[in-house]
Amino acid sequence: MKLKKRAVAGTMESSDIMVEVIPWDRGLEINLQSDVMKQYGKHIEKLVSEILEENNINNACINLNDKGALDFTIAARVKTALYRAGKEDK
Amino acid sequence: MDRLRRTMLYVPGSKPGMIKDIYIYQPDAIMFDLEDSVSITEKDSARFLVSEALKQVDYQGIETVVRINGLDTEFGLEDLKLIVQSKPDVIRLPKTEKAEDVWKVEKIIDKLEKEYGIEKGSINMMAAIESAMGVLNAAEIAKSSKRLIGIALGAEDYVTNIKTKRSPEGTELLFARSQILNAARAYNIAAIDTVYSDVDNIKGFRREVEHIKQLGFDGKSIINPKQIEVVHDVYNPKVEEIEEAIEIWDTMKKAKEKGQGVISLRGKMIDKPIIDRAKRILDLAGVSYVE
Amino acid sequence: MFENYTVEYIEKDQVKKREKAEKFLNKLGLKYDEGVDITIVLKNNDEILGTISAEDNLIKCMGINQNHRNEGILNKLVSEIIKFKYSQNIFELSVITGICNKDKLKSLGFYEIYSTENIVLMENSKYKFQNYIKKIEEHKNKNNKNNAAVVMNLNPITKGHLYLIEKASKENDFVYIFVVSEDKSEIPFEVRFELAEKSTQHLKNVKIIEGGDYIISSSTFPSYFTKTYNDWVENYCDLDLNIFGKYISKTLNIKKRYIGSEPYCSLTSYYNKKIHKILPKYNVEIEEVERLANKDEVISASKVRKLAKESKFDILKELVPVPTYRYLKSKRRTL
Repeated sequence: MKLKKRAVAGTMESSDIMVEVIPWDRGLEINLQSDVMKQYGKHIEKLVSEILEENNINNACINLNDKGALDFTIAARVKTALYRAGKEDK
Repeated sequence: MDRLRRTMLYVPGSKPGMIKDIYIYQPDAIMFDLEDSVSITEKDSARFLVSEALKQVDYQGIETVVRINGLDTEFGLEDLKLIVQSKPDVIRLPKTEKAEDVWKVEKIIDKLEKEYGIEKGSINMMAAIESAMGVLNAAEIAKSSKRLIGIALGAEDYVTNIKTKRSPEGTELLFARSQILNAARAYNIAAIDTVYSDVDNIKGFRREVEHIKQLGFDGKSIINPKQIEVVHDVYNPKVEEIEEAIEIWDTMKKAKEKGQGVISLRGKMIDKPIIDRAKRILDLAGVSYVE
Repeated sequence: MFENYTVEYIEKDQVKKREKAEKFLNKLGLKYDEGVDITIVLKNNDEILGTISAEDNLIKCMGINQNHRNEGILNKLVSEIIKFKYSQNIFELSVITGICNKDKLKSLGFYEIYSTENIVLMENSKYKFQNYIKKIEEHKNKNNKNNAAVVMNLNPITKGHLYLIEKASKENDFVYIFVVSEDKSEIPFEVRFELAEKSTQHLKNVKIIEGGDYIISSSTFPSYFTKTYNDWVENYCDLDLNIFGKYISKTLNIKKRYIGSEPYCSLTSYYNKKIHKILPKYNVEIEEVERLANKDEVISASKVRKLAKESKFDILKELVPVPTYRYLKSKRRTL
């Protein structure tokens, strides 16, 4: 998937996660901030990496701020941010 | 046993906190909304949220329904593409006016099921009737597709369309309710009544539920969990009714085993309508039986 | 979960809609900033739960209903404003707020850039400040030991400005002129910058550079442009000058900062007093220069703009360098 612009999805409300996708040329960087960093940090990063890989994303900065989102929410927000980042501006 | 659809709880597809917990309220069905309760800028994110939830969350046997945006909007087709893939039980169409509206969506679902390798016909449909024209065409809508398992009334848009307002007595909805119910019964599908927005008025809500139950509706659209127990209570058969239904059913089974053509209980003939009513009561009561 | 929350977006011209939000903020002891271009209000039925506003990329006027603390209202408001600004292609937001809000904003993805005793400047971009310093670094002049700096609005550059710049040029190895980037001045930044370059072409050891977001801009000095004195001025001066001292002067090895004496504007003269107090901590000397006068009157940019409006070009010619004169003459009737 080709990223055309910066995009953001989700919120920092409870049970949600805010995801920002910034296309750049410095490889892949994932910055995760989470209330449950110790217990789930690695798990969340793995989940995000898998989705990025499925979509062939290897040049982007992904910023995530998690407020206790379940896996389905994380997946949805990441996919939404990628979808928005891949859209042409009207 | 026919699926119970006494309560269909609405959840905005844009709220992850609500989507994840909604099954704890144990409605008969959950309707994930991508349409009116979702703002334009969040249509895409709601679509992804509902899609991922359907794939990953266990809704414990509760019927999953997704209300998509109409095909006449820029979102409808995208909704179908992602949602069919996620295999909800039912896809609900908004604002259905004629059979053609159903066919258009069905055609796309057919195609997508094939494309995604999903068993043909595994996703059902439901149509919301929200206009005068839709009410007139209730019959053709009800018979339009094998996938269509129910039709529902959307009163807010309907009363605007017929140029009046909603009232506690619901007189303005009498014709629409009757038409929809009748069409549903003629073609053997479910009939669901509209939402009741005054969440704090439990008394008024109960009166409306009793009214639509008497009219014959299978259930009601719910916008707040506290409405659920009221509906289940109204629809719950009384103990005497249940006992009688069990008796009728047992009598029927025994008579069939013996090969008896005519079945009677305490001097009264038990014919098909009585058996059907008994079955319905057993379904509502959650009593299990052998067909 | 099933509450009836509504989010209201109030744009700059919808003054009436904003009244309720203003009253809400006032009750919390906060002032509403007229410069904001968006105000977002979270309501439950008719009760205001909280509000947040922004002017370009600077978040302002945050207020939460004290009866609803710990309900995640700020989380929601900050999320909404980030989303809104994204739709305007503004991706990096800053906020200057009381120290008490630092931790909360950190949890909402904001990084601390600098704190003074009472306030903190925060941004939700990991790299913005770093990139700014890197850009400043590109102007580094390795051989020079005695570097000086002047921060000026140059709206437009006058002979008075030139006098100060020439003095600095004579007394130092190298001089950096930071042109304030913010476009709140009558003359747009690109023009001010170009006129400055053209007017200082003859000075080989002078470089005109863009001030950027961290030098007397809304980001570090929100009240500067409105020129009204309020309680926060001291806080903003602290912020601006400490950032200059700690990061900018260090990066460019600046040993001296030149300022023009300020007879007219009390805000600027207060700022100048603060410079004397703060910059020496960073080993930066202050050189305060008396303004150049023309016939007993100090040459000021505001006077120059007034004369240009009045098309008094003969008098103007004596007060500004040629590039400025040419620009103002060509711009007559539109200034």
